[in-house]
Amino acid sequence: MDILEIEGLTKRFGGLLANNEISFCVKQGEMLGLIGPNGAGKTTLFNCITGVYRINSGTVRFEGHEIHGAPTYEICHRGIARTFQLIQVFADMTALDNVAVGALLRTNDLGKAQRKALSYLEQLNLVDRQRIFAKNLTLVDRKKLELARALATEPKLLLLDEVASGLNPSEVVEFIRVVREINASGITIVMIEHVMEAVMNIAQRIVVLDGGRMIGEGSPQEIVSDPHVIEAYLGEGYHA
Amino acid sequence: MKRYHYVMTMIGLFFLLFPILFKNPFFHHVVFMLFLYAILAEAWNVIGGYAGQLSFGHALYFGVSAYISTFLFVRFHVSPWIGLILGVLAAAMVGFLVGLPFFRLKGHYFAIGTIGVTEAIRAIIKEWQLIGGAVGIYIPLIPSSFVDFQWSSRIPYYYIGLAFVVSAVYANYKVENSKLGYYLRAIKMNESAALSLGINPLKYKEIAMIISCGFTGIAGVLYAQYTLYVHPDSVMAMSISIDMAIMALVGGAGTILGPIIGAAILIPLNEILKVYIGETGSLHIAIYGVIVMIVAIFQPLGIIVYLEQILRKPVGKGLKE
Repeated sequence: MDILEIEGLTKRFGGLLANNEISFCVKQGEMLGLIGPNGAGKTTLFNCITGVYRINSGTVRFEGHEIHGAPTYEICHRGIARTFQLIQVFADMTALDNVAVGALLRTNDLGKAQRKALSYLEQLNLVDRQRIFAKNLTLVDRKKLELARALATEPKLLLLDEVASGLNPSEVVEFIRVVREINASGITIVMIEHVMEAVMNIAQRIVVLDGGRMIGEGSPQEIVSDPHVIEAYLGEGYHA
Repeated sequence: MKRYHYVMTMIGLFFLLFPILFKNPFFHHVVFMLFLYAILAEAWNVIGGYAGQLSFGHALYFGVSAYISTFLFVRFHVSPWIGLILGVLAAAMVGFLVGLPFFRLKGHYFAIGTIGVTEAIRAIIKEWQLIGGAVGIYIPLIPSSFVDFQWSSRIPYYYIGLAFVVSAVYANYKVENSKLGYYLRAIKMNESAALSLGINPLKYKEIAMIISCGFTGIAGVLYAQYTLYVHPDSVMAMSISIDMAIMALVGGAGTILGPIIGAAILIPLNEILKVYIGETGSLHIAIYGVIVMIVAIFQPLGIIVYLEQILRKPVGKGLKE
């Protein structure tokens, strides 16, 4: 079953076609990679799915319901959570409170939300940082915090925007493990990623964007041997 | 935490016994004004502190409820207690309506918008003869009566004010320790992140606005019954809007007790300077300005930060491991 169906999605900024007639589906429980060079329209696509941008034409269906045109907060209520390319934590809140804000979506009880937040901090190995203000955390911890906060909204679909960028190799390995775990717990994932080893390792299927258009779709093996993708993005001589 | 509770209890006892310990009516007046502005600063804190929406037009809600209770009492002899309820409801309603368009504005634009709407309505009321126009409405002096909310002594006003200060502090405490408080701080710090977590900013700003304007309305009726006179330049003066905001910001916006500390510093100063220099002088404003500058430079989070350090109350929140 397809949890997310995108059909003919087009987003224009003045004369710039940021997303041009994009169509693909995401299966329930799948881990889909979204790749493409800078400016390909990947983050724009996330913003269209989550209602940050109003799309010019096309449809976005989540669990069979059309969600384009709905406000961002309502889309989150339906079960789509995301992280941001440029980290957007609540800087003057403690790590615990950051995640509690996410958990409060599904409960009105502050104590319950904090206990739930603590369990997500545990999952991401952040328990010892719970009292530290988000602004004082390292980059990798802030990225984890954002992920924990998104998980706390109990999403069915998680959109990850370059979670592995800016991390050192051992941190990337840790993130791959965490993302796999999340996916194994039943949450569908769409991830934008530039770190090719991350996306090639964990994505079951990959969609490639270039210049706002979709130029490829398939398994990681199919993608690395697709001449269009190699020309546009991977470069000659790329081996998975 | 022990020390904190001890200090709070002592402060509470002091204000409870104050009229008995000190008989000078001028002291009662100063502390009553302190209470009035403590309510206002705490009220402003909900929207300006926790939600970070810098309203500089809160005199509107103060004036609306002062006018409603006064008009109903003078024209139809409706008890100001009923006027208080109606005034508070009206203030909250007006706040809600102002919020509908203005909460879509960000930062400075929101602040300017709130000033504009309050000044515009003040100008209209000045021309509105039914409610006294620029002259305003006098409340006739009548024998002391609970139903008529009027006493010859200042002491009943003192205790009513104190009761409302306690309720305003309690409201701030409830806001801070609730989903609403968390959501407001989230909206203040990063609205797009808040949106992505399922928070509807307009809804929570409006809830905060209703609470904030309701308490501002309480202070409006209290002030009208205390001075027995409302006119546009007294109950809708820009200085009220500015003062309540400055008190909250100087004391510590977005904290439970910061706004009261701001009021406790600025009001006695203001009232004493008025006596020694005269009401027409504006020296107290100059001194205000200096205090605001000092706080802005040395402790932008407000004076409460120093007090919290003294009382060793932890600033951040966390659960035990």
